[in-house]
Amino acid sequence: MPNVVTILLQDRKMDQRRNITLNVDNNENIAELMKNVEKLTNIPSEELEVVFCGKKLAKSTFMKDLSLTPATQIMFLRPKNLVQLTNSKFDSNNKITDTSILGSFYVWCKKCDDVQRGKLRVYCQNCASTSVLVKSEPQNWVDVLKSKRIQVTCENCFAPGLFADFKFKCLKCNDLAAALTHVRGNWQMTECCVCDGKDKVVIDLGCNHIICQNCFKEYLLSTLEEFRFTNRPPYGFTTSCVYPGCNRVVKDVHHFHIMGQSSYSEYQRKATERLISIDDEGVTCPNAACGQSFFWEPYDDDGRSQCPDCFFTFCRKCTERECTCQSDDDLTKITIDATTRRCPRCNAATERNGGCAHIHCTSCGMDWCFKCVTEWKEECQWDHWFN
Amino acid sequence: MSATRRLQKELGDLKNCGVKAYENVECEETNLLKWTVLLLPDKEPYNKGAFKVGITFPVDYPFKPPKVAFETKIYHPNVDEEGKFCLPIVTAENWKPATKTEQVMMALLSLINEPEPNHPIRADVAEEFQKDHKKFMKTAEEHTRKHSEKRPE
Repeated sequence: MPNVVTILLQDRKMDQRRNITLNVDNNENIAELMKNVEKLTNIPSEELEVVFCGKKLAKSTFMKDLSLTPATQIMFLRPKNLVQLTNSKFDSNNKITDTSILGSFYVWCKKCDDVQRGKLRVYCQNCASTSVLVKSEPQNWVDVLKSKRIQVTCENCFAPGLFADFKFKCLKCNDLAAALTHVRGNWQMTECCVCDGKDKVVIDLGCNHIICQNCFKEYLLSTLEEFRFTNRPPYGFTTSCVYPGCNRVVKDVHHFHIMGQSSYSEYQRKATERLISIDDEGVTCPNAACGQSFFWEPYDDDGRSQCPDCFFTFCRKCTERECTCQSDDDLTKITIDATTRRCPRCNAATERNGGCAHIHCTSCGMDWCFKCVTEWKEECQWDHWFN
Repeated sequence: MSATRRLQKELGDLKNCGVKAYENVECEETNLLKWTVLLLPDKEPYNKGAFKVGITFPVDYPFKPPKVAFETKIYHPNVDEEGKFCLPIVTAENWKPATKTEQVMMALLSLINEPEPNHPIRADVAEEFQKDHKKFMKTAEEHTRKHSEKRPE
């Protein structure tokens, strides 16, 4: 299948640069591409280096393994002194020989609304040019996800002390996408530990407890139903591996996109609400039809807040429209106080009309113990399950 | 759909697990979601009897935990009069979809064999277990003889 590639020729010997557009066959390799460039430019192919994705390409690399699109730019570099370049500036081992690393990972593509195979591209942090060479090979995800880890030299701007700017793209539509570090190919065809199915693309949180995408989605949806995501800084509200006893967590919430757009939005909304309710200056609207979470303004405070969503105004302490904190003779208040206990997080008056001591607050979602009126703990599980 | 496939596999696995204590499992003819396991504890005072344990799987199994309870009466500090007990691995907060019924049975068997009087559901039985162990053993043995099922040959 023919493909169009843009070649940026940096001719240091003649101090020139030019752009070349070439039709290439995906079954051609780099050596053949170099011959084509030689024909067009009369520059002997021995004097050229081919740089792509921050690295020099081996002559045996096939075009089809580079995941090219018409927008892709490949740099041809003709150094002033070939001997000097190959000997001193760059490690001669630093060549892409295994092209599988270019497309062996997965991304969440917003445009495709799906998990897709991804590709990694390298740019100069200063001028955004692709004419860069990495000084060292990225060793792990951190090297490409965090900035300022991999140094580069840029053949375009030559600025000193440059770092690589890595970007992930969707292999299908070429849009920028988020890398999904937990999604990988199922090389050994391991069974999903939930359904025993054997999928080609699976989720692995780093513990080798393989789960297929379908089961992962179901698991997330059931976790979302009761919002059992827990706050695990620095990852945010997340969930753990499906395997009993395994505490590995999903380290990047982008994976929750797998639930689908509307569920992901619900996750985001509830996680925000939860975060606000943990904060001293966060409050949940007591209006049963609303339940919006928001931060109240700490200055000039009279103890009352108005919900920005439904405009219900209430006392934050007793959560009533007409504050009942001061009145001792209010029969309603006396009855409520006598028959309920207050959620330790959102202060919602809670009546227990049966069942065990484990309360799941429908207002803020907190799990608490009706007996100790604190967060539900393992001891409560044992000692207060039934009164 | 996935629940059916997994339950069929788990049922077969449990029947062939080779552990006498819980390999006797029956499933309702028309309902794969309802199982009965005949639990055979191997420690006194429960090793003379067999105890029926009912397992009800939710339709969204394995993403929700099964409900497990004794159908046979048992005199135990951690099991109430209705056969309910607290097993952390099958509670909604702790449930992990990769947990297999065999693991649940293993945990239950271990709770029955080794009561946890410090985390009781029946405080009176737990007190007896700790303060008058002899009396506890006698009551539990009698209770087992009277209420439990026959152990299969």
